[in-house]
Amino acid sequence: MRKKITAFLLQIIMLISFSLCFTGCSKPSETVKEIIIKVPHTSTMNCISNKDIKNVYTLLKLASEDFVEQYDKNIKIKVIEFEGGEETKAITNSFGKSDAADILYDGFFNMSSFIHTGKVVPIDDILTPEMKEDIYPVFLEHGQFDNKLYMIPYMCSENILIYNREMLEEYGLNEYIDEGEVISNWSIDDWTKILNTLADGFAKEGKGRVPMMMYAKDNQGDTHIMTMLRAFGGDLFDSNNNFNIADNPDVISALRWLQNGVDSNWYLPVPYYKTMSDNSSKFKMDELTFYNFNLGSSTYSRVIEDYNAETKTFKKYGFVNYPGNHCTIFNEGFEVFDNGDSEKIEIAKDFIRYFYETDKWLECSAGSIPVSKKVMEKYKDEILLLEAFSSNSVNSVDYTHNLPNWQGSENSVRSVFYKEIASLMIKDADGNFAITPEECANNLQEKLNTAISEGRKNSILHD
Amino acid sequence: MKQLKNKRFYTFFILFIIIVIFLAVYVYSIVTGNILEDVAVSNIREVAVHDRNTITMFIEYNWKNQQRIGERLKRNSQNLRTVRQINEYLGLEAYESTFDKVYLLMEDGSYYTDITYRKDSSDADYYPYMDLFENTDSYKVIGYDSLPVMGSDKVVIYGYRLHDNPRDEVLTGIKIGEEQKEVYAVIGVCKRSTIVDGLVIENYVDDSGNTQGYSSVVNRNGEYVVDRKDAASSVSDNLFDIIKRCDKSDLTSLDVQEKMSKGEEFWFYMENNGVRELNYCTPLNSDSVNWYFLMSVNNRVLKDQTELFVLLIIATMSVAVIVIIIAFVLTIIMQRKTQIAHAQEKAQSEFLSNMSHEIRTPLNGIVGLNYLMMNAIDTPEKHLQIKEWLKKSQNTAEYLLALINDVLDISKLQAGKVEITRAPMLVETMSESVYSMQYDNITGRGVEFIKDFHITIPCIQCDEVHIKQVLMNIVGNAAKFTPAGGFIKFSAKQSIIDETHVMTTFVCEDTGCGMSKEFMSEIFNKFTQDRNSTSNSTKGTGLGMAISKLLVNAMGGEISVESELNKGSIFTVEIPSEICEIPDYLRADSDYTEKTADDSGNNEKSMKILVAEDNELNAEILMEILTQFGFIPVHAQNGKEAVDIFEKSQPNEYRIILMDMRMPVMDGCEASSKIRKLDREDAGTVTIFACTANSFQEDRVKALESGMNDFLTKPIDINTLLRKMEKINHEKHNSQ
Repeated sequence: MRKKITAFLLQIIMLISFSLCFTGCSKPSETVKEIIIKVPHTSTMNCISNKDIKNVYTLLKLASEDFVEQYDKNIKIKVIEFEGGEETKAITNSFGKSDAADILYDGFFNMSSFIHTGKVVPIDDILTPEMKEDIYPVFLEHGQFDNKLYMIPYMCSENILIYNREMLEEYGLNEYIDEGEVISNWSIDDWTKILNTLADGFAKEGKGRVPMMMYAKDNQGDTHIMTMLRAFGGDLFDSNNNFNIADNPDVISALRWLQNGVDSNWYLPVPYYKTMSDNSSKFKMDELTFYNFNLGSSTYSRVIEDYNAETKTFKKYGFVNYPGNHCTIFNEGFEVFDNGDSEKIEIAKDFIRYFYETDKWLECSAGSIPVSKKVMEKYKDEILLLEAFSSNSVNSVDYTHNLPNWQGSENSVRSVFYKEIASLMIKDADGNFAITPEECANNLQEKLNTAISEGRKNSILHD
Repeated sequence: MKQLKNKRFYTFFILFIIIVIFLAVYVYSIVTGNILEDVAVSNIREVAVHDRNTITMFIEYNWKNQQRIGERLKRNSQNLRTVRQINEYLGLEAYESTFDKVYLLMEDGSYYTDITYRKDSSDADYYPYMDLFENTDSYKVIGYDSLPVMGSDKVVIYGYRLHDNPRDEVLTGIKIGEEQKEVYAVIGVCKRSTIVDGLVIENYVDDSGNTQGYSSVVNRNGEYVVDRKDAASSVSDNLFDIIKRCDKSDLTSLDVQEKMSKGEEFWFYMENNGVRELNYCTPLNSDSVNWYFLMSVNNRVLKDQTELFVLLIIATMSVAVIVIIIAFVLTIIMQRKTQIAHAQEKAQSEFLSNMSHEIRTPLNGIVGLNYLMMNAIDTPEKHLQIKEWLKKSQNTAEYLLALINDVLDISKLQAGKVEITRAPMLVETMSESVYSMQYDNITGRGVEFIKDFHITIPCIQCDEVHIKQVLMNIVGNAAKFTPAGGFIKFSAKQSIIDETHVMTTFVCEDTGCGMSKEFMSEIFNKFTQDRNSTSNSTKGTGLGMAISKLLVNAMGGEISVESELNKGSIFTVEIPSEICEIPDYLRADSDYTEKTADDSGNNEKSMKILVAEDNELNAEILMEILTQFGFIPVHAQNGKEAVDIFEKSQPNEYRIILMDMRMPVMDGCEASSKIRKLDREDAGTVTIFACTANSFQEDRVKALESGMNDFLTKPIDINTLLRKMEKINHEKHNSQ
């Protein structure tokens, strides 16, 4: 009887097995891990060692192909570009999805907020003793939080303003032009005079030229405009690392100065609906006098062309700090994300380690300011304006203070800031500004500090 | 053999059913899969058509916006003189509209944007927007990876020509700028990401939130106007090139081109890097553009949908198959049970029929003999004949008794009411007893009866009565079936199991008719009789071997048989027992020889026996027998009368009381209990035998509890009675 029952059960098991086979029990396929690297479309670069590499996307694409070829595991790496300023959509909104980033390359000011999501993995273990010795400590410190390294720097940019000296010369402003590889410093009065002179002249000629960059259509303006809020001196932050704007007369003066620029025709018309790209185009068309500049920017090739190596002078361009004589320094580099797969984290770290240990990829940072001592030593004579930028670093201001919720959500500092600056420049039907500088200062302080407060409250750090 | 054939038949039948059902399920799953695929494609078509209409509406809406921009421009053109004024005007239009940028293309190819004025190709970053309208299209939409004024953003440009369109005649002749040039077209620029966001198919988002389907827009040259999957990929991709490059495609690029040129709606599969996608292509239903809307859905989505359904079907079918098989097996089991029940019923019916025949035949014989004897009793010359009839009558009655005993035994065994007692037994004496009891029966048939006893352990603990019953049955059978001239060998031997146990083996070998294999396998079953010609001539209930097996098994032993037809049989009985010392009473018993009426009377003459029996006939027979053996029986008609007679008797006047269990007025148990309670010296010593037709265990227990000494079953075997009485006497003598 027992045998009969056993045989009967076996028949049922066979039956079910057949059923499962019919329904497509497929042979488990070998899983190939795919690492996703994301990089903003706006990450341009000027690679001295390989002129074909014009942006970080291309650099990472080439490096990842080499890495996959020599790696001992069967993996794939996909490099994805996203729209500049769309970090929230590309990174935060992809958490938990199949296209979530395992590695992000971006500016530190864009990346620091992600540390507080708990998704960014500390990467101190990537650093070999040789790498630690090679990278300038000051740059490594910028990537640390709570004594752990979350962002590893690759290259550094110092933001200043470039100007079209021909325009200044055209309107008799030669006295402000410094010759050679010099970054000038002008007082606020000087700035006001220069901008008014140019604006008046351009208005008369009717060709649509404007002197000063300004844009508040999207969040790209924080770096530069926030720096200009220091034009009249003082710090934007109090001792508790909160924004100190509403009761800060210097900042209110700066806001008023910027608002007056609208009436004075310093900027492109409708500046609150203009982008950095609009200003960049305008500058390249020689219709804008002052625009942002760093060694990685797309205008750098024009600067090199303009440079007279014999006289060590420039014919068309000059360089100046932001009003208030400030510059901003920001690093670019890598972050590694934890998407719940420890093996992918290790592969991501292996890739970054490989990237830094391979000279041809590390040396591509030369063009901007490299964070590697050996790259700096090798290429220092080939990097135009390197000396000027180095000596100007004393004028840099820390504009993010590594604060949480700077970037990555709809109520982040960047998302709030540009909207308030746009409001400052909008006029009502009667031609009056919709808000005063004081109201703008109040709004900024309240909304920016709310953003930071929420960021601190929700901050989670990865172990 | 038949069973084996049946088993094979059922196995093959079940396998056949399984195979047929699996084939049916397999074919059904394929057909269902195809139908489900068609349904899935139909669903995709619905989504595609919906999205296509949305995009068409979006495009039409943008053109309407451009028309409105043109209308406003007509009203404000007089105020627009300087480049800055026009830049500002266009900036505000963009701010208020769905466009990121609004340009005005002038009739000479120059154009105004919200940030500049480009006159001709001598101006930096000049773009020949006039080329958009080279095919005299009034409307134009095209995708760009980048435009000089848009930096690195990917854009879609909407061109709307104010000229040549009858409905927009009012817009012609708009002149602006210091040079008063005529406006040729309004151009709207949108970031492509805004359209791409709207093209993600929400219907095909998996559990992780990942989109498994995407839409795109291509023109009929295969160029992507709005590209697929992510905004970062290049619109410079061409659908036809992608089809050429892909690993596998249902349609060639030429097929797709041809279908698009005809404006057909179609779909095809394309596989690349292990990802298989269904591409649904439908033309935009707009007069203004001849684009195609493409919806690409990962085949996994379709597979998941169809697999789930097919899995459900197959699971349901599998359950149905299992249920069918279980039902089939249960039916077979039930059928078998029914067959067995029928067979048992038939066997019992046959048995009852046989029993009826077997009982009626001897009864008829006895009645007939009695009739003959009554008629002949007064004829002296017939007395010898009467003596012969009396012997026949007695034999017939004994057979009838054996028959009834067998029926009762099997009933008791079936009910588990037979108690196996353990008492010292002399193996050789018991074997000799069997031998001697069967000796005359066997040798009288002309059969040699051989005994072969090798007893090493003389006394064992066992149930002598039941062992003897088994052996008598086996040897008796051998006697029945062994023809004259043959022999029967009855042997007994022992082997030591351990220090305290011994295995006693009894073997009965004969040269009888033997048994067929089929009968041999059924011999120990109840109601079995071999219906060969030899056995038909023999008398028997067919229960003997079944009773023997049940008894031997109850004693912890085994019974087996070897037999060959027409050559003989060997029955072997193995009984494991505990070894014991020979008790004194058995030493005396071993000297006992069966008494007869002629020689037993001398010892027990004058012993008075009280016989309590309500049945007059039984009482009369018993009284007569006891009298013949020299006893003085006194009859009591019920228990009460027995108590009274005993109470009134002299002490030790009655040595033995034969007490019927069931009697009117007072039953035997109550009477015994009362006798034991009487205040007289022999109340506790008088031997009381329970006499009853009930031989069940509870009757025995009840009798002993009421104070009776032993148990005799009716009809009373006078030899057993005498032996028991002698044993009691012996014990009493010893105790004195």
